[in-house]
Amino acid sequence: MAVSTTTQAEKAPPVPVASWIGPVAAAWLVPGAGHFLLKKTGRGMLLFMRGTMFKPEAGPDYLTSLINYGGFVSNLASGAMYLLSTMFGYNQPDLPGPVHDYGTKFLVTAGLLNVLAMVDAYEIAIGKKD
Amino acid sequence: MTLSHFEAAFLFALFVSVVMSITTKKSNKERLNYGVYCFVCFIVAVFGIGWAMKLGHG
Repeated sequence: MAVSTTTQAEKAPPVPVASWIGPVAAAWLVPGAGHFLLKKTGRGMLLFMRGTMFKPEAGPDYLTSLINYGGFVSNLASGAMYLLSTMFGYNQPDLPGPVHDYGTKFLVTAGLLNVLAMVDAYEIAIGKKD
Repeated sequence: MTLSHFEAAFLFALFVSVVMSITTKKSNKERLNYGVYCFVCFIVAVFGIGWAMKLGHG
């Protein structure tokens, strides 16, 4: 009997969505919350502090934000703080000046960093990372 | 609160380093080392590029 030389790629069993959707959604909504859910309190605190320092603001409404700023999606990735700040009117028109420009870049960065945090929460939830 | 350019760059470097170290490394020791490394690189870049721009402008 010939021995098969082909090796089947060892595929990990698919991870059920229910095991990671909660932490990933929480990570999007509140920076660090995904890690809190996964009992990674220390890392969750650090991510939450970062999220709190980068207070999101954007245009007067979602559509204007989309048109005015290419970073809308990044802002949206900041989760509840972006949504709440826009909803409750804690935003202001686009102003010229270096300080405002720093703020805009910070907010975009905050959203992108939160995407990293969401990916991290996902990997912890599926057991790929400790 | 109005931040100077350096203060803004410092905070940016700090927070980005923290998140990158948490999300890319697996042990706390690796995270600390990588976070410090990233932060130092950011600060060196701030001063290096800052001086390059100053000298470039004459």
